[in-house]
Amino acid sequence: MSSDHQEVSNDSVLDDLAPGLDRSLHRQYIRGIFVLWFIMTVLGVLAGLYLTPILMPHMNSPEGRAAVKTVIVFTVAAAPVAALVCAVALYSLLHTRHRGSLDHPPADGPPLRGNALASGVWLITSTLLVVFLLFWGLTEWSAQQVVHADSLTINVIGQQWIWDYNLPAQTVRLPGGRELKIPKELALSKLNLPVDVPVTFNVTSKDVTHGFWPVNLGIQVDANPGQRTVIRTVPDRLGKFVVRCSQLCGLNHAYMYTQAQVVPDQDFQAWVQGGARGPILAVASSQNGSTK
Amino acid sequence: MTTTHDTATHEGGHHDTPEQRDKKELSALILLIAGDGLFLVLEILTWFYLRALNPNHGWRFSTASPTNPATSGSNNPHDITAEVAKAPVSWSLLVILATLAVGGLVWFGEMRSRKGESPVPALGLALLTGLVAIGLQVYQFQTLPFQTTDGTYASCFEFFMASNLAHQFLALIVVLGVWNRGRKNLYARNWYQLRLARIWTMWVGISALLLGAVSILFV
Amino acid sequence: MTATQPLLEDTVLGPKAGRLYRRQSFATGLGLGILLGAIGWFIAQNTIQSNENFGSDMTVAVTMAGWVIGFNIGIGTFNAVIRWMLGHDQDKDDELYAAGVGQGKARYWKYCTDHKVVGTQYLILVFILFFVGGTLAMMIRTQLLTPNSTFLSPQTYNAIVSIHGMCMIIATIIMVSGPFANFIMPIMIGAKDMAFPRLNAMSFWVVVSAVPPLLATFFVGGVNAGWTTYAPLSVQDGPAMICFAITIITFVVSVTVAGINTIVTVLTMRAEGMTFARMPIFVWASVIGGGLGLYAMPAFLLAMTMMVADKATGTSFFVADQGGSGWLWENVFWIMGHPEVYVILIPPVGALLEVMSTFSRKPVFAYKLAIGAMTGVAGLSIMVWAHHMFTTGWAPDLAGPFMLTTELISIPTGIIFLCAIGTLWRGSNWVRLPMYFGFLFLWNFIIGGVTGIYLSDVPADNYFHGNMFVTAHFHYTLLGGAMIAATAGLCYWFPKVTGRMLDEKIGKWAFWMIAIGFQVTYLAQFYEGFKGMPRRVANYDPLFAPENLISSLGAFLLMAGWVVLLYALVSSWRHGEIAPANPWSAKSLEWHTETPVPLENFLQDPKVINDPYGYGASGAEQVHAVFGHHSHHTIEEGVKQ
Repeated sequence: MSSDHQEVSNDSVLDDLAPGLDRSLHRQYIRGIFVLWFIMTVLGVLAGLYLTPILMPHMNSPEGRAAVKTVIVFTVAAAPVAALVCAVALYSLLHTRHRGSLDHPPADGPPLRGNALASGVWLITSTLLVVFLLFWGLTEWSAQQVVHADSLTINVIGQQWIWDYNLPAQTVRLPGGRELKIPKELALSKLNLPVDVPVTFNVTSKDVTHGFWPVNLGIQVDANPGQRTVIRTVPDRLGKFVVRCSQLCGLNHAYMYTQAQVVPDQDFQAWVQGGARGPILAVASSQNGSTK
Repeated sequence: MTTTHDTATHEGGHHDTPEQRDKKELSALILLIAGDGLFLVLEILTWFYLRALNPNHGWRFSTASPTNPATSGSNNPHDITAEVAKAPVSWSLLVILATLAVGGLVWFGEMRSRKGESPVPALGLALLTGLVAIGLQVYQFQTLPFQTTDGTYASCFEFFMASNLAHQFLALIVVLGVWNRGRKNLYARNWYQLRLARIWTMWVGISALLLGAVSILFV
Repeated sequence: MTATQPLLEDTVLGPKAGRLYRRQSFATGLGLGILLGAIGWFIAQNTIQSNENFGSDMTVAVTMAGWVIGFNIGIGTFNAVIRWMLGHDQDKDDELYAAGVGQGKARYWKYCTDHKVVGTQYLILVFILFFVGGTLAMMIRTQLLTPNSTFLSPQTYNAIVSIHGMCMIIATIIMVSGPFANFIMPIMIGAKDMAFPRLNAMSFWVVVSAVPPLLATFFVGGVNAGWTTYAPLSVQDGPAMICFAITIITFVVSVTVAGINTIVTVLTMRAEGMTFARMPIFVWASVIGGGLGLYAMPAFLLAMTMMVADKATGTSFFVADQGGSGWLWENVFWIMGHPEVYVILIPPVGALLEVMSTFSRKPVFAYKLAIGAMTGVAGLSIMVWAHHMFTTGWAPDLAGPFMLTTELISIPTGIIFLCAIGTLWRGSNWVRLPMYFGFLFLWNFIIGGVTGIYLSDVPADNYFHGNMFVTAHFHYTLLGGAMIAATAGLCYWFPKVTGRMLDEKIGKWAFWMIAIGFQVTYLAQFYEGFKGMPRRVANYDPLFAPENLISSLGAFLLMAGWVVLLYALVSSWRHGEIAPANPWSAKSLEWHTETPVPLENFLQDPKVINDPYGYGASGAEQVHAVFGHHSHHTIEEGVKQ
């Protein structure tokens, strides 16, 4: 959209927006606000596109990357609206500010009591934006509801103030005909996940409500006493990260975390076969994912 | 006392006519009942929510709870359902009827006042009925075959009774007030407070009916 | 307006006027409260303390209930009820005494029914609560300066986080609906007082009695569960949770009474000609906020009474292994909790639009749309509570519907922005101190709003829930939005409330410290959230160290800014330049009565002929109201005098 186009399209409504104002002043105001709006929109869009990936950690699952992508898209979508509010405010500070003595009120502004066109455009635009946000959110959300026929089941038990993982005996068929075998039930204190294998977390708590939050997987669900809640993901990138508790759970809430990592599935298989003793083959730490 | 102020311009504010007070207080009462009604609705929703969860048919488990020190785990009720089914229903009906009767009697008093007759006998009877209703409610409390610690059904039932008791108590204060004011012949010319008292006491009766119906019918 | 007319407050009252009120004050309230609390404690010690399961909880409950009831008996809350029951209604002298006639400054320590006294009392209480909450916030940020700080033990840290939260929630709920909806709003509609002056005094003193139990939590173990006190963690807590619940239950009474009072006042007490369409936007905001409070508070009451029952009588509403459910708590709590944030937000937004209009010298843009938007926000806000529960596992199928209702709220919120910038557009922007805060509101609330839409999106919320991003988001909306807008309102109405002009030079220093300190604090917290730092942690991963240090330094600057502002307010209140009746040349009625405002507000009854936004209009259209019998005496003449 160019500034010329803006003027032409607005000429007919300028009299409504500012009656009794000479037309060249209209143009000056609209142009000034448009320039500010344009600059700030561009800044907002650039911030959304380039700042977000720097601010957020590398994610180890599609759900995590969906969260990053959502932040980017919503920032870009919101930038023009936020920029307009800021542009009008800034313009009124820079240009129409009363510059005389501040002891006495300036002359009254024009008695504009509203403008059907401006309100209508604003209303329609914000409604369309909301429809878009909703569409985006529901699309992403439904994409995350896919249940893989075969997945690695991990029981997660929260209690004050540790996470315990229970790996039931199971056989998971992997794409490509291979199989992941857990020969006997394993009780673990750290979370290790094979890469590219769908995982189902069955989460519960022994005492109070905790929040099971494997940070870089971009999913979380509360661990409720007496309830089993389920979340699923497919970790698809190798790396270390931390499982934290996202729900205040008492005294040592801050210390309720465990190390986790996504490892190649052969390594995982070998480790499980060996009774899950000792550290699993260390992999490169993902950015922001390590602790201590 | 010297009041040099021109009172003609200051009729409102701190000193309204009965008509103005009626209008204000009726609006306030409607809002209060709306808020109280919401409380009631949420209470009933709580009941249905817990009933839908239905662990152990609403009765406590035999194990102690790590989060609630009040549950020792001992003294687990045997099959209590049969006892419950015969025990509290008739008492609940009596409590509800007595609570509803208070509202009816205040209404009767209001009608008599409107006709220019004394509302005092009806209000006095309402006062007695209110006391009886509270007595019945307290008696039911004491003779229930279960305790607060016996699970979600017991929790809700006792909570309903407590909330009903609080309502009855507020109604009793109002009835005591209008009865005493009636005795002092303060309702000879206007009866708007009697109408407000009637609306409140009838609301208390209706809420008792709803709570009682829910807790009895959906065991 | 003539000053020769004798004032109502100069009335000489009879020697017995006020009866029992003559003997009652804050001191008797304090005395009787402590006495009844002690009696309650003594009785409980000797009867139920022996119960090993919930004896201590019961003891604390009885003690605190004794305090609240005793304080209110002592201050005079129940006087009128008792007198009504006895049939001894108050006569006019009693009422004038209760309204503070002949008591000078002592009336600020009494059960005073004058709405201006109540408003001023509320304002002082809000200052105190903000100071307490702010100090607790500083302790939190001091603890978080470094990753493994031992400044506070985890127990103390959790207790401080919880009470910081609830103290600020109480303070923000009453920060506009207390001082300004009481002091200013009745004058705005041309009323002589609130509809129920005694209930008005009650709403204030009941909040006062709710504060000591909140602070007492620190001495009986501390609340461990945050201000949201999620069950079953809170059921596990010590007797501090009982104190906390008593505070809330008491506070609920106050908010309910105040909400009813506000609504009935506007329904029944408007001056002649003050139609709904001519009411200042702030009046609408107060009514909508009050009404929404009436919706939210019953849920709060229910949640807290069930909590007390669970703790002190052993019921199992929230105890999963005895059949209850933490999700029940979360639902009931957020059915209260989300409307409640708009109870906080809507009245300040109304105040902000008044400020924007006055200092832009323009009518509120799209006045009716603004009312519709506030109503729409209020209506939608009761349907969005489960967005706080997206990650709890409760009803995943409802994620879509709640995402819809939550995102719909951005439409009416957007309209409020439109009204604000529409008012600024083409205005003769008079940048006085209130307007500084007005602009800061726009900036903060845009950021708060945009970050809110990330959180409304379920997939994104699955990352952000329970982390510092949420903390930063709601501080941007409630502190940066609501509280900054309330500060704009405070600077705007300060001359009317105190009779003196606010020192804008110091005020501007405070403004810049607040503005910069705020951005530094909470932008750093957004970054912590992006990186994945959980909320409410006493210590954190060294990974988050730099941004926590920056956030803490920003917070210290922010608090320093508030202290400077407090200094400006207090010193101006005491020695400031005497304010004229209408320093801003505004049109609404509160500026067209004397300063200080006389008892019953107007010496001559106003007759409203237009809405108060006749800026730039010509002839009679620019006049909001005429007074008394002098039909030629218009507002414009009042301005010129």
